[in-house]
Amino acid sequence: MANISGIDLGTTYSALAILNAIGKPQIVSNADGDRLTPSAIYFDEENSDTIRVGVEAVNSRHVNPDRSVRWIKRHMGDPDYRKVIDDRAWTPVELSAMILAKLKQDVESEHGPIEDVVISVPAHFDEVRRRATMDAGAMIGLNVVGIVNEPVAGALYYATSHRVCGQVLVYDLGGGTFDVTILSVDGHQMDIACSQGDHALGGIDFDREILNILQDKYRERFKKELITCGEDQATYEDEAEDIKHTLSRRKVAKKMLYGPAGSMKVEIGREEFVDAISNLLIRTDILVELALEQAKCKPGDITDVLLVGGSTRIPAIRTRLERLFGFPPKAAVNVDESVALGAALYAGLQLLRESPGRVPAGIAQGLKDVKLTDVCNQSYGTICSPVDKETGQRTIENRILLAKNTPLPCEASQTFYTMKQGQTLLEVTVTQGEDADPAYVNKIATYQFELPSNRPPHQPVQVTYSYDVNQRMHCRFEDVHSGKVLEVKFEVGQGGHLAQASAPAELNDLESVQVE
Amino acid sequence: MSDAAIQLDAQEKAAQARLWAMPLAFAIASVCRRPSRTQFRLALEWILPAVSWQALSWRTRYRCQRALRSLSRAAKQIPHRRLRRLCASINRIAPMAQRFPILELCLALCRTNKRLFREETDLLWRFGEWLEMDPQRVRAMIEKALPIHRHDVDHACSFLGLSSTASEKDTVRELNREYAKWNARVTNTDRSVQRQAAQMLDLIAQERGRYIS
Repeated sequence: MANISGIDLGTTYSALAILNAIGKPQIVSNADGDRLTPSAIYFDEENSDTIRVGVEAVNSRHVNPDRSVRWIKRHMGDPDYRKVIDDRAWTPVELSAMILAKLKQDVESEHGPIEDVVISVPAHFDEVRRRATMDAGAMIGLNVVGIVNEPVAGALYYATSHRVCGQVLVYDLGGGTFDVTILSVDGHQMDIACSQGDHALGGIDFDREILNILQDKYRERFKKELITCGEDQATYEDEAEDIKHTLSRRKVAKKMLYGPAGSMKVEIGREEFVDAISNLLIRTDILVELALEQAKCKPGDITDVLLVGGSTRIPAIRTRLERLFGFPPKAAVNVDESVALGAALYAGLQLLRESPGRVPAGIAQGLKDVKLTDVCNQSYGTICSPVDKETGQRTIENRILLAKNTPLPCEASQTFYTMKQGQTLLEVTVTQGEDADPAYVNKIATYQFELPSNRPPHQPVQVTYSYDVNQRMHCRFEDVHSGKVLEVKFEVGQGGHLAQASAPAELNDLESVQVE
Repeated sequence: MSDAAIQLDAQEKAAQARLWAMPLAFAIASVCRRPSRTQFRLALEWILPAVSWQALSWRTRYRCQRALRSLSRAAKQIPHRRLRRLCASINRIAPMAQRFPILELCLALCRTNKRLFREETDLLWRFGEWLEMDPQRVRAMIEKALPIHRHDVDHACSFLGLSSTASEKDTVRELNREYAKWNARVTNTDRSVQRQAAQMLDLIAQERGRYIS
């Protein structure tokens, strides 16, 4: 039987875990023997069909940065992003698929086939990004049985491997994204209360601040630029990351800078670093406060603060959290691995719900007590044209039906009315976002709903959205008087006329390349 | 009183409100610089429906234009207390539906400048307050018409419409609320919205850093 797996497709590093015979997740090392694989890609110059992924790609990028890709997760769902190599334009989905392919083939060589997987995503990832992540898995033949939010995965592993009871705040600061999730845990029962997150806040942003310090110091000394080409950029990006790691262990980090105008020794202290990243840390503080407000709890109500993600090793982060909550935060296990481990557990739970026959008895037994209640990750609404109470004029408005952080399963209805005499067509739009102003929300699907003819205006149309535990959304538009119904089902990341879906034709293109 | 008379009265009041909006428009246009030709043309086009322009003789039109030019030159000298009184007069005769376009005109005039100064943003906020408009709505209008990259971002307080008299707790709460709003917009499919959201998040974090240091 194929392995049940969880993949943490991270901005800087990725990891894969499988469930063992009794339903315990374990990280599987890659072909190099490492438990984490850098999410880096390098297109070989000599052999254009060979693509290097992982450590080798990180090392190779110093030689030719133009042929390397890092931090592709930041571009997930971006319809305009392309990495052009030898006249071939690669999409973020394809590039992510290469990373997944590397993880898959390394594991399969020792542990047998990987088929059913759950891939983790940041909690605040929207519909388009979730779909792109699933597409990447499907592109290499994985059966993506679900998508799990990274902090939820981290908490799932934590709660199943420790004795926990109370309100837990998961602080997930990874290589490129930040999430904070609050959940109540009672043994193996977990109820998610809410999530907040920032899609562009993580370790690489801290590295950039260090890089700025290095450049400033060099400029100040030599009045010349330290970085003059892509190779320099790649080199000093890695140096900056190294300094960050050093500063998590020591109070001062020292480096030699070999710039075009001469070399110099630099010292960066922890305080200088914390000062440089203070704005980014403030952003995490705000999100923690927002999550607490949303969960209607005070810092004193939180019983555990769980650290997830490599960037939580920065001492200033731990100090800040301790100051806010009054006790030190905890790390479940290795902060880099808990998401993949939790994702594997989630894959087992998902399969038990959807197709229990595919789950070996030992795993089913191991997971039988684990219960997880998730929430809606985003707000879903529709576009309507109400009369403004203040001005008395018609406006175009996004009306939210299912609010973010509503516990799953959930359902909500609202009644809207036709506007014109003899109106026979209604354009119904499913939106994702928090704003009333349609300019600030994403239209994820649009449908034409045909109505009976020859009717006066103001005919009621009831719109019902529901969202089940398997993250399948169901939209129902009912013309109340005629009973005519338009029903639309789409899984998160699958279906509807998604605005930015990647073309299915691209899905097979990876077959022509070899990932090493 | 007949319906026709009531209708006429409402039309007259609407026209009057438009005329009274002119000093506000020119005040905002001249707060930091001389009103430009484009701004003058925009204001003129805005006032035309109120004065039945086509029905006027050429002499009257000429006089109107001259009067507006004089007003545009003198607007900088109008004290704020008089502008406030003018807003109060507008409030008495114009319903909210007619006050929003006044602020929209002011925003349109500001849009003709590449960059906005703090004094201009401050005055926009004051007009919103004096015209008794919902501050959240004023904020939404300013954000949409004049994205953050057009503003002098050293004055985040002004752009965010934060009150200098609010307590630290209230200010932080307001900043958090704004942060949540822009954080939800940062993944918008429209790149200009994405950019604006990213800038706003930075700005709010900076501003908060000043409050909780």
